[in-house]
Amino acid sequence: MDHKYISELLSKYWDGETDLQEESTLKSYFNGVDVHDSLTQYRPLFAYFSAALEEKSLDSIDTAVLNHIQHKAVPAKPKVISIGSVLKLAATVLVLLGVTSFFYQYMTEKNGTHIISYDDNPDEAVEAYLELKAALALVSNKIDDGKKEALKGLSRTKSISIMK
Amino acid sequence: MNMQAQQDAIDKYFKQYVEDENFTVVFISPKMFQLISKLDLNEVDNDPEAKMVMETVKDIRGLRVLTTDVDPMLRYKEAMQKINTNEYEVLVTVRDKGENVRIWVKESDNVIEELLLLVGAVDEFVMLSFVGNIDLDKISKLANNIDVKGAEHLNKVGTDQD
Repeated sequence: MDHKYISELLSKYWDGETDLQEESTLKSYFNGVDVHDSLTQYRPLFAYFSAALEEKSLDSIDTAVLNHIQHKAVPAKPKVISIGSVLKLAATVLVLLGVTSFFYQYMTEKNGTHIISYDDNPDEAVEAYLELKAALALVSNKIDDGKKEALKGLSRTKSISIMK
Repeated sequence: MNMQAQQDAIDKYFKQYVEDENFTVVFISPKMFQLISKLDLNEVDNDPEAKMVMETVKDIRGLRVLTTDVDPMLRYKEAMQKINTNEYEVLVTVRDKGENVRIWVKESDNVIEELLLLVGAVDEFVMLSFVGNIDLDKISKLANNIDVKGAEHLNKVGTDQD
């Protein structure tokens, strides 16, 4: 399956706009063997929906994550989670706000320690950048929501004064 | 650049969250921000907004994110009460789909030196703190690029600074 199409589906998914069939497509894609390099990081999210794979999938997450880390030339330290791209952490936050207990549990169990700290190790800079980007995306989206709410309020006010 | 360690709201009011095992804490230090600014984007991030992201963060010094799924609404209410409203000003309040969001900013000499985001939902509490020299304009613009849908028309309606 074309990974660009899957990327598009993922975007729709984060927006909560995929239909059942599209979600099923995502699920099969990520449970299959031929997952594109740039997308392997999302596998754990979709493995969640496959109850039968639960036990096994933790190991394959392990491998997938570690492989991903190594590809980016970051040492595979168990303490640090490779979160991946902005979509994934934004999704993590969104998913944390929505569905997530499996993923969240995975994060805390994988870790042992509950603090993920990026300081002076240049090999961690890429990961840190991606986390940073996701954090900015979150703030940005909330500011945006705030604007929308404010505008709604304003338009109500306008119509009231016109009616006078 | 002011090298003095700046205390943010998390240092001041929420140390216990950092020490609480129920919280996941992500911390990016000033040193790491410097390392990030030196990254070669072509290798790191293919998204077109990567450049914008780098522009936005060049004057940011630190980030902390705390999340928990244990008693999230309680934490949210607790956090809201602790924040000193003399120092922090509310920028955004949203209540939507069972989720409460508030963004506070701390301003000094027309510069926003801290941005604090709180999200309280039924199953999750998030506290996020940016410190440094924070450009709200740039951050808002990111939304238009990262999530194009729906935000496009807003760009025309919103007020332009400068």
